Amino acid sequence: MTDKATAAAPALPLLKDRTQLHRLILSLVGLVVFVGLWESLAQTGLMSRTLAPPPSMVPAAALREWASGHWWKAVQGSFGHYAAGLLVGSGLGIALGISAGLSRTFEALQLGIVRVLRPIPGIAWIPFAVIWFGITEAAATFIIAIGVFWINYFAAFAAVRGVDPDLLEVAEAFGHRSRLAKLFKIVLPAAAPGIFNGIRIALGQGWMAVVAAELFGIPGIGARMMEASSLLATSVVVLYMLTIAGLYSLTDIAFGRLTALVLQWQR
Amino acid sequence: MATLNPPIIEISGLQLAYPQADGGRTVVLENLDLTLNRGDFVAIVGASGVGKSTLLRVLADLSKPSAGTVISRLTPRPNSRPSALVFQEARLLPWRRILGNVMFGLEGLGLSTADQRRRAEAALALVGLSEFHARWPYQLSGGQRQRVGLARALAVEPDLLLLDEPFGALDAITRAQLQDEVLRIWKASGTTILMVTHDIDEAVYLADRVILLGGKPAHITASHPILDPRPRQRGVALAIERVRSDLGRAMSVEGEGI
Repeated sequence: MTDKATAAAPALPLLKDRTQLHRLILSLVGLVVFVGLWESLAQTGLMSRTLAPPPSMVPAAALREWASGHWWKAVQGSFGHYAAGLLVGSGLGIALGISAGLSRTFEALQLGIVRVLRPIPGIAWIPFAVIWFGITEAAATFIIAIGVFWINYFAAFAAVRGVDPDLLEVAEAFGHRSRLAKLFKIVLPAAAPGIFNGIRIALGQGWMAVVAAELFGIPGIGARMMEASSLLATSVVVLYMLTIAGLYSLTDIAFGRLTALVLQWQR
Repeated sequence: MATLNPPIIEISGLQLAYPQADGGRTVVLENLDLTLNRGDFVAIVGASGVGKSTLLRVLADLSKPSAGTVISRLTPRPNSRPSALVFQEARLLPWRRILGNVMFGLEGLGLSTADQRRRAEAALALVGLSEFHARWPYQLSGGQRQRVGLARALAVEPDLLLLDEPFGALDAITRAQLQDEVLRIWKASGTTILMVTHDIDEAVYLADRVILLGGKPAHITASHPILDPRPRQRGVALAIERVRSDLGRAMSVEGEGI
């Protein structure tokens, strides 16, 4: 590290060195160019303002949605579905993935079921979600849970299978011979990085599922987007698209921080 | 002299075989007899892959013999484990801090957390790593990690300390330091040590008895007492040559090289 970079470090604690600063600036430049291009296309009339609303229309839409209370209600609703679906889907996925990883019998038992269910996307379950739960929060939770289940399932399974057998031998050599002792002292901590990785991918997948789950009328961001698009209020649609991007970034950053804290033993 | 002490491990006619995929069996050890007396420091040498580590695994109760008897007179004292193993690679648990790694073997012995802590701290002090309690394994050098592995084994106050080529991967200076630490700890604790090594110099420098494992399947082909008083000089040519020629004879009988 050069002296200059060291001196700059306290002012920008998030940036490790100049290369990182460079990358940040470049990514901002890319974004500005993209938005500017879009804006000018709309302003010059090359693109219809209704079909592709210029970015400059979005702040006004945001103010209206905020003032009417729609934005906050939609975000609250979606976040509720997101959290519940993620909790149920990830919880079940991790628990079953660990079980399959631990037991060859369980693995063989679930093999056929996984073959059949795995390729079915979460959205394909919407008809059943509606039949079973109606247009309710539970239906949205169900669809989101399915959307994140498999990621967590396979991540946990692979993580458990990947546990270093040498470390399991250490447990045996030092008197921890029961399955339960090995599970808690070796398997779970050793598999934690893989499981956390699965959750992190699921956090992104979950937001995609939220919109799909709400498109058929369960109150939230997806439902509000459908309403807006049926009125051709496309700037409102863009607002909610950006909202999802922002919420995803927030959850991803928060989870990244949590991971760094819990897995600080990693290099 | 150690030989006057009562035996604590008596192995006779030991056979160890693994089943193979094609239905056959690989016999690793056969007709192996070995007696360890309390307080002994015994080194096992032999070609790599001959089954030295397998023998340690049997004594650590990680492998079950397929025939023969292993009589263990290790006296289970309260709050200790009968044997402890130091691996070739330190094999620390990366998610535990250094102190937590040393406490690993003490968990489940019925000690309070405070007592576990005290014992682990004492073991770390013994290997000279007192100021490293709160570090993570990745922050330590290879030699320091190996010391933590040694501390983890010492913390359970084993009757029998099993060392599986513990210094093989270390540089010469660190290795010499750790050898002297093991000697010091052995004298202070009176524990019995069985050490696997491929380094005859190391075996002659440390042990009361050097035994050669050879043949296919492997058994003990020679046993050589080292009577030189301690402290010994490193690399004393005479003693090493004596053992080498003895072991060489035994090996030429077996028709294999070291």
